[in-house]
This record gives sequence, structure tokens and C-alpha cells, in this order.
Amino acid sequence: MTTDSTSGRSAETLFLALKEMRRARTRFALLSAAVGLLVFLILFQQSLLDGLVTQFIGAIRAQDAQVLVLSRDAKGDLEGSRVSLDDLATVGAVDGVSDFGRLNVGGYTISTDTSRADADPKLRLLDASVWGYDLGGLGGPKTLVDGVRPTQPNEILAPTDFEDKGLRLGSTVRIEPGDIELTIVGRTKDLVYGVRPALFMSWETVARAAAARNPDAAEIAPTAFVLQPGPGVSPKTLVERVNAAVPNVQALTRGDAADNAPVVASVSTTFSTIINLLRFVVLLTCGLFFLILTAQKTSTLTVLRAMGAKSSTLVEALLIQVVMVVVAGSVLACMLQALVSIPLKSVGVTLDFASALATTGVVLVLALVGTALGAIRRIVKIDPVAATGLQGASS
Amino acid sequence: MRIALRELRRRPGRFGVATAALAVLALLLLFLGGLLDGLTAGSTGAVRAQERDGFVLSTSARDSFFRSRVTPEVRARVEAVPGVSQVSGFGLTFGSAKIDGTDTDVGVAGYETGSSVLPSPPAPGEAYADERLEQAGVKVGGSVQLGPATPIKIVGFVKDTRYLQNSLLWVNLDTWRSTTRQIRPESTVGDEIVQALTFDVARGSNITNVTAAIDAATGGATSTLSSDDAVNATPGVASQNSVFTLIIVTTLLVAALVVSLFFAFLTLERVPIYGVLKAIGSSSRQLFLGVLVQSMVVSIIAFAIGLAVVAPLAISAPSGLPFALSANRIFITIGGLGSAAILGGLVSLRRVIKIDPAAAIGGGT
Repeated sequence: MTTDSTSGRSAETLFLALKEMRRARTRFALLSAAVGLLVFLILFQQSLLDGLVTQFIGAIRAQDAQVLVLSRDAKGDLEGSRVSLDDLATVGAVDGVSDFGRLNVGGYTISTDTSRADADPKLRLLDASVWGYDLGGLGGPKTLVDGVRPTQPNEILAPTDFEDKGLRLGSTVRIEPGDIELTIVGRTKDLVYGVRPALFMSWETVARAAAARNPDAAEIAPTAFVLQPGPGVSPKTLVERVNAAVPNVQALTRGDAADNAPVVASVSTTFSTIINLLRFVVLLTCGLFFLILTAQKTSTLTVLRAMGAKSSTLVEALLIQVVMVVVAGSVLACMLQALVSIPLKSVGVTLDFASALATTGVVLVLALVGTALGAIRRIVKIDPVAATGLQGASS
Repeated sequence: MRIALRELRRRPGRFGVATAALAVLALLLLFLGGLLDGLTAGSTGAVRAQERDGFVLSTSARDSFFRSRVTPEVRARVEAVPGVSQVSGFGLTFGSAKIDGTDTDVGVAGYETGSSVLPSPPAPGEAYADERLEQAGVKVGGSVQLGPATPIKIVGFVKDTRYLQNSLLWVNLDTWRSTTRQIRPESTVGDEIVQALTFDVARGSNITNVTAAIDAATGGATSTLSSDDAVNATPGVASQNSVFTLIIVTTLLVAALVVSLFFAFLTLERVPIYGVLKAIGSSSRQLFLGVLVQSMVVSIIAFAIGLAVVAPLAISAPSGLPFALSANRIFITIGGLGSAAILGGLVSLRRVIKIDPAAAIGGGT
């Protein structure tokens, strides 16, 4: 009996909410569009942030060393770091190091069979981040998507995400200038650094490329040392030991080297500020809309209250409308996000349903808070007795 | 229009929430715009400060100074191209210096020709420093040491000359070469070699023809850019611009929707009053103008609030935050917000026109 009356009341509430939405299609469509655009802006910026972060430091996460040692004055910027080879033995001798190696990271110009055939001369050359390590040692990618690891100086590893630029398994890459031809023997995902594809190759090959580009230059120096902690030693412990034992270097766990890279920190702060401001706009917009809506129909609501409708029924109808507006807006936002992800996939903009669901949840909570602060308070305050003083209910 | 303004004066609270929502959007627009301008200025200052008509880099450098290398032979060919005047060398190296006990990103820029921003190159071992370094604690007469390099004596400060957010020390080419050799041995260049050439276009010649002529004269070994192209070729500037512009345009769309939403409701609420006003002779045009005036006033107030919040940030932005609010950006933002307000107000037009005065007087709508 109780269940019947509860479900009857719920159906009544739902009917009330839907009826009003059907009658005022334009205004609810406008609000859904506004919420949709806001959710889209949030989704777009979140995915742009995730994509940019991967584009900036994907290769750091993808390489296999758990600890990286940079020069202290580089302040976490791998390309700005330069460590002395004289320190390699000292770092390698720190208690808890099971394996160590050297890494050189730098920006180079490359061409592929595909790029060289491009009609536009500007597109015949490509930017790449070149990572030199001792083949067979630390510093290479953790896993491969296809192919094998390089064993020869003319073999390299490339990312999987640049097939359209000619970075395919078995294809040839030329480092410019110098005509150093290399074959892609293996590929892995998210192998990008500084918004450029990262190519992993032997230390000797990088040295040859550097000399070909600038014959006046001295031999290349490591930008970082890479370390692996031994059994029972955590990366964090090893970091502390290296920082205590070797002056002028900064040891970082792989995660910290990626997450605390200067560009990542500043980009994350900026995007977080923008996203929080947008959330605040959601709260204000929804609060404003439902407050005005409630103000407009106060007399009708007063009559309904006088006829026996409970405040909770009216509030529930309002909450159903909030949920429906946010859901409709989120669906619109997902469609927009799917659309923009087509041209912007290369910078990491994608439609991630888990993130969309989480954002919808946050926006729903904010919309409910906004509504609660204005419209719900107003409904709860309605005095049914006031209906006797009304000249007529207006819609 | 008078009624519209009077309503705004007498019942400001009614417009409060819409103004608050728009103020947050205005704040967001100004913040995004200022950030974009700050990032662009901090990335491209070194190119703009030289005030040259064009830049010549090696083709394989893909418009990156750091990967470019121009030999004296190439320079001679560029100098011989008709329409090219005053060819100079340019080189750039990034490093780090301890300033007031803090590791600071500092670059060294070698140049040959001064401009209204840059005095003529200083003596060997001396530098003009970017003003940001003055804020960091560098003083005229003091010196800055990059890594193991010989300290460079500061002889003055220059404004807006940074590159990729790094403050630069402007030195002559020999000092740049020797400093590079000490801090970046792998980037060392030989005597007479530079990373890029800068040039002016002689009177009567045009930059497009001259850039093509230079690349033809060097047999495709160079990629010559106009000054504007060199600014846009700075790493990250083009993608930064497109991403921020997309976010700004979408934010303006949201602002237009907020305005339209608010005034659509307000118009709905006023239908009976508008009916009466129409019955006593007001035209739809007059009533709609009133809505537009209110939407514009709300937008202007919201913009003023946004500006008041952002202005302190523009005046004293923390050195780590690349933020620069220009007059141009302020005009663009107020123009955008004004357009959004007009667009939003237009949504109410149809409803205002449809109001039937007879029905309004009869008590129905």
C-alpha cells in the first residue's frame, strides 16, 4: 500500500516535471544548450590537458628506468639538463642501484619516405625528439606494441601514433642534415616528447647525428642518467640516496620527472583554474535559470500548495528537471567533443566516456547546489495561505 | 529605453545573478586573453625586439634557431641578393644561472645590429639583460654566470626581449660563441658561424620577393621568413593561438546563451507590461531596444567587474605567470562580450514582436 502510494507520487512528480518541460521547450532547450556548451568546454579542456601532458612527457613515462638523474639547475626540464659523465660512476655506485645508464635527449629534424613525397616543401621535413641510450641497457621503452627492440645502430623505435607521417614498422627515417638513414624495427604507444614524436636509438647514432648537424660541436653529453633500484629498494628511497650522495644533480622518480616537468606543472595549473571558473559558471547559470523559473510560477506553485501538493513533491519535480537538463546538456557536450576530436586527435583530444561521466556527475552536483541555493529555498518558503490573497494563478 | 534604464536603476538585484554569471565569464575571457598574450609575448620577444624585416635559417632547422647553422658562404650569398640590406648574425643558447640563490632559466642571445629596443651590441663579456632579470635581482654593474661560463657583466636592461619564456642576456656574437662553448659544448659553433641571419628589405623591394630570392640564391639551403612568419614559427605559438581562440570563442557562445536565457525569461515575465506599453503607443522596436540596452548594460557592468578582478593580476603578475593584459585585448573582450549580449538579446526579439496589445489588456497573453 505504502509502495503503491510512493510510486504513485513519483509518477505524479515526473509527470509534472515533464509536462512543464514539454510546454516550455525553448527555454529548457536553451538551458540544456548552455549547460551542454559548458560541459563541452570542461570536457574539451580536460582532454586537452591530458593530451597535452602526454604530448609533453609521454616518452618519460614510456621509458623503463624508474629513476632519472638530471642536473640540479635544469629544474626538472629534461632537455635543459646536462650531467657530467664524470658523475656516472658515482651515481652508479650509490647503494641500492641495480643498473644504470646514460640518456641523451634533443630536438632534431627528420624526414620519412612519406614526408619526402609531400607536395608542400614545408611538410617534407618533420620535428622529432631523439633519445639516445645504450642499446640493451636502461633507457629504452618499457613495452612494445609491435616489432622488436633495436640491436644495431641503424635501428630505431618509433611511436605508433604517427603512421600518417610515415613512421611505420619497417619504414626508413632520415635524420637531417647528414643523410643518416635508420629503420623502424619496433613501435610503442605515447612515445612523444615536447609535442614531437620521440625516436629511441643508440647513443652512437645520436652522436653521429649531432656531429652531422654541427661539425664544430663537442661530443654529446648525457642529459640524464637512468637508474633502476635493486630488490627491496623503492624508487623514492633511491632518489633520496642519490640526492644525498651526489651534489649538483636532482634525482627524480619516473612519475615525478613526468608530472613535475616545468611545462606540465604550469599547464596543469592554468587549465585547472579555467575549469574551476567554468564549474562556477555552471552553478550560477543553473541557479539563475531555475530561480527565475520558480519566481515566474510562484503563484501557480502557491495554488498547488493550497490544493494539498507537498513542498517535497514540487522540489522533486524541480530536481528531476535539473537532472534532465544536465543529462541532455552532457549528451550534447559528448557529441560536440566527439566532433572536435576528429581534427584534434593528434594533440590528444578524445572523447573519454569515463571522464565525461565524472564531469556530468560534478556538473549535476553543482547544478543541484545552484538550484538549492535559489529555487528550492523559494519553493520551501511558499505559504499556501497566501493563495487566498491571489487574484489568479498565472503561468 | 528610459524605462529599461530606470528598471536597471530601481531593481538592480533582479539582474544580479545574470551579471554575476557574465562577470565570471568576462573574468575567464580576460584571463584567457591575458594568458595568451603573455605567453605569446614571452615566447616571441627576442624576434620582435630585433625589428628586422626577415630571418634566414637553414632549411633542415625547421624554423628552429637551435637547430639552425648558417655558414659564412651562405651569408655571402644572402648579402648578394638584390633588395637585401644590412645582413646581421644571430645566435641563441639556453642555460641556467643562479640569481639571488635561485636557479633561473637564462638564455644568451648574440646579435650584431641594434634596434629601438636593443642598443648596439655591448663590448665582449658584457650584456644587456631582459628587465625580468632585474625583477629577479640582477643589477647594472653586477654579473650573471651561466653554469661554468665566464660571468657576464650587466650594462643595462631591455624590455620585452624574452624567448620561449626565458629571459635573455643580449651579447655580441663572440661572447655568445664563447658562452655557448662553455655551457653547451654540443652546440658550439665555429668562428663566423651563426644560427640565423637577420636582414632588412631595401626601399622599393618587397619582402615576399626578397625571401624567395634568398632561398633561390642559396639553392634551397635556407628557409627565409618574414618577421611576422618568424614570430608565428616560434615553437608552440601557432598551436597556442588556435587552442586559446577555440576556448575563447566557445566561452563567448556560453556568454551569449546566458544573456539570451536571462532576457528570454525577463521578456516572458514582462509580456503583460509590454502589452500595456504597446497599447499606449510603444512600438516593438522601442521595447526591443530596451531589452538590448539592458543586456548591453549588464554586459558592461559584468565586464567592469571582470576587469577589476583581473587588473591587479595584470599590474603585478607573479614572475612565473605569463600574463599580459593589453588595451587591444580589453577592446577585443568588450567587443566580443557586447556582441554576445546583442546576440543573446536578439532571442527575445520574436517574442516582443508577437505580443498582442489587445490580448494583454484583456488579461491574457
